[in-house]
Amino acid sequence: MFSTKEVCGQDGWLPGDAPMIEVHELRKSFGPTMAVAGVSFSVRPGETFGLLGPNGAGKSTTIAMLTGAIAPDGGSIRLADCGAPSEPATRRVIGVAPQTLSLYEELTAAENLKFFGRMYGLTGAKLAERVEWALAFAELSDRRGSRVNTFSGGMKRRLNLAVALVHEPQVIFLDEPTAGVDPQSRNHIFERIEQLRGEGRTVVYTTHYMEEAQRLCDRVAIMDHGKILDIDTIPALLAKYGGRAVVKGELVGPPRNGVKLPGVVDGSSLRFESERPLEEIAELSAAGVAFQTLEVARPDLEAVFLSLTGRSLRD
Amino acid sequence: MRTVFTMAMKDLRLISRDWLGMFFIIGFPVMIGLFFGAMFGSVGEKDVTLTVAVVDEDDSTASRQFVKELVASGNVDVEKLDRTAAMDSVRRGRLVGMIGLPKGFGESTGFMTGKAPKIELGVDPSRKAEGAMLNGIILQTVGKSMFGQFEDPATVRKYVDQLRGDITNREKIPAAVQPAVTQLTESLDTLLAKWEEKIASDKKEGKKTDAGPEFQLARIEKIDVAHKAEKGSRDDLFAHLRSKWDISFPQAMMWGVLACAAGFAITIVRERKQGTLLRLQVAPISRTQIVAGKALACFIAVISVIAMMMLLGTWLGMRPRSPALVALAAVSIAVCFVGIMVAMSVVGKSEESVSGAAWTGNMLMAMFGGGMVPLIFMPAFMLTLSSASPVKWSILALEGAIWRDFSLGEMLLPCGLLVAIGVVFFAIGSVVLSRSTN
Ligand SMILES: Nc1ncnc2c1ncn2[C@@H]1O[C@H](COP(=O)(O)OP(=O)(O)OP(=O)(O)O)[C@@H](O)[C@H]1O
Ligand SMILES: [Mg+2]
Repeated sequence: MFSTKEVCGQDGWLPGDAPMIEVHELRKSFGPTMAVAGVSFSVRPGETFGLLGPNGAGKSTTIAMLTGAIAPDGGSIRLADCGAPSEPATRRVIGVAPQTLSLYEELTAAENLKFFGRMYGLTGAKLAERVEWALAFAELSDRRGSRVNTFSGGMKRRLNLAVALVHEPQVIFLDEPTAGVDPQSRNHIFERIEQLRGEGRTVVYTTHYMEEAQRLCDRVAIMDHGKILDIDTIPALLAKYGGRAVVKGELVGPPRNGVKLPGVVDGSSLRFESERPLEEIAELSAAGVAFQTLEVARPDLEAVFLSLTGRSLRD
Repeated sequence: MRTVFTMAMKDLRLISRDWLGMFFIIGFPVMIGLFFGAMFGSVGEKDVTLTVAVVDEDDSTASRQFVKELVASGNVDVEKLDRTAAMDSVRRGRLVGMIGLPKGFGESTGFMTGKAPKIELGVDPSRKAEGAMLNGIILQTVGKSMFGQFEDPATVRKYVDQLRGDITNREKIPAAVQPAVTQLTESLDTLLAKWEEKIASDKKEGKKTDAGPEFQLARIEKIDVAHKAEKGSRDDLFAHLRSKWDISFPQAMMWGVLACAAGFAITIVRERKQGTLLRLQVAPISRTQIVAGKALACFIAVISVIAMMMLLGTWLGMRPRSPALVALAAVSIAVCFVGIMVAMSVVGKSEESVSGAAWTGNMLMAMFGGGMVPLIFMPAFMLTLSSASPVKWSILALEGAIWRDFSLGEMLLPCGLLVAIGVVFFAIGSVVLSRSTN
């Protein structure tokens, strides 16, 4: 693996020193549509940063500007201490897995990897080694010689991700890498992203699945209508907007005299909200309250989104 | 440069895996070249009758068939003699030559035996020109008995119908190429209909028909004894023709070139649609390199089509006058159609719209440029109109090098125009292309 220091040819850069990505007041319109309406954020080296938002929130447009695929109308981007994403030096350190599968259907898995590897300047033994690595990463080693148009959706997704990594990028942009994938392949992709995270790569991950953001991301930016509503770690977002946990249960029998039940009791059903649900349940148990069934609904990003926008994430 | 080359190789690989695209680039031009060439019949050939002796020692169905074909060629009168009598007649100068069909001739004929039939040829040494001609007639007759089945439009129609079935039954024929397929089968139908019509009218007039492919396995140049026609007149041009493929092959090549231009233009939109263009745009390569990669791929494809067709034509009997000028024509044509390809790629946003527009453009260029009616047969007013079509200048450049016997100076007009057209379209196309990606 190379460090950004080598790539950018700048001295004095230390991990943790400066943000890997710094975005300021980024804007982009398509005709009358304001796709990105002034977003600012920064991503630390080694961090997995989530962009969470519903369809049309502007996530892909943001990624397209960050990777230099389209030019912003306004605002600034600094990447990996190299500068703007239009610079070839910057492009070499970033890898992109676009939301739409971006592969040559008539080429084989290995040919796709080889071709894009060459586009990043890889040649000879190094190229061969990286292609092998990427095939193994995508678990497609045994299908290396098959054309992409014979692959399943999940296999294509994995290859789409592997192509983004063939040149060992330091910063990786993954735009909905699990779209249209069955649960098993999805798990496989999660494990791969966790592997990248373990290697210290910086990952920007867009999704409208809050479970994904919750599992993979260190920090999440909640996006809607081209704007970022808030950015924070997941526990912090939950604490700020998630509200309290909801506990629902069926009691075995009526409570003993003297035990005061929280919340609403309807026959043998109990429902209450709590900041610290597990502790409260333990206290009730200790006091002799026996539950037949028990359910704790913790606040999640869905609730955060609902409270931030008044709408549900997927409608 | 290596990046550009890598991209071009990728595009060539992609197009070579697209069976339909390959058919338009190679299969269709070959068919056009053969069919039209066959329809021109014996253009440029002078009628001479040679009297020869035939010694049929094999006396098999095949040898009798061969003699029949020989007579049917219309250029020889045959006297059946035994070996001694035949040799004697040639020696005394009464006959031009003798043709011997030794024992075992029958077993070695036919398309499938893999052996060349053994034929003896004896010629009066003082009559070299006629001997050479006889040689040609024999090869032609052999070819005829090999490819005879293609002589009958009904048989060819069977092949065309089968081809049509193959093409339309293929499950996922991309919508983008639908118009081209329709166009192709329609033009094949027209071609066959014309052919059948010609046979019918020949029959009515009681003429021996010369429609249909006569495969010339070799063609011997004949001495031009015709009177000198006025320079530039049609008769003068005909006198320059040395093979019936001279007219059909330049024309046919242009169909392959047009298919290359449309094919690569479609790959540009396809790259955009399938997202691979996005990957290229975020890679550390410039937009100029991306366009250059496409251009190089198309350039190589056009040159390859022309080279392949030249080889096939030469094998059939075409004798290009100047290989260097053929190369000059090929390069100019490639430059022109690379430019047109880039411009075609920006006329629409979807594969369907680009394919539709590109093929409409192709048909217009072909129709007015001599891709359908050969320039040499065009009425004057149409010839004037045709100057607007790059296909005309391409065919003129090719013909100039193959048989019109152009000097380098005469080549400069068509070639210069082609390069200029290419540069202008390339500039327009790449400016629009780079704007539309942002
Ligand atoms: N090339 C384009 N031309 C016109 N409008 C566009 C273009 N790209 C995006 N938009 C518009 O910009 C807005 C943001 O789109 P974007 O693709 O960034 O959303 P997203 O958050 O990625 O959505 P999704 O979750 O559906 O992928 C949408 O209203 C979309 O219609
Ligand atoms: Mg998107």
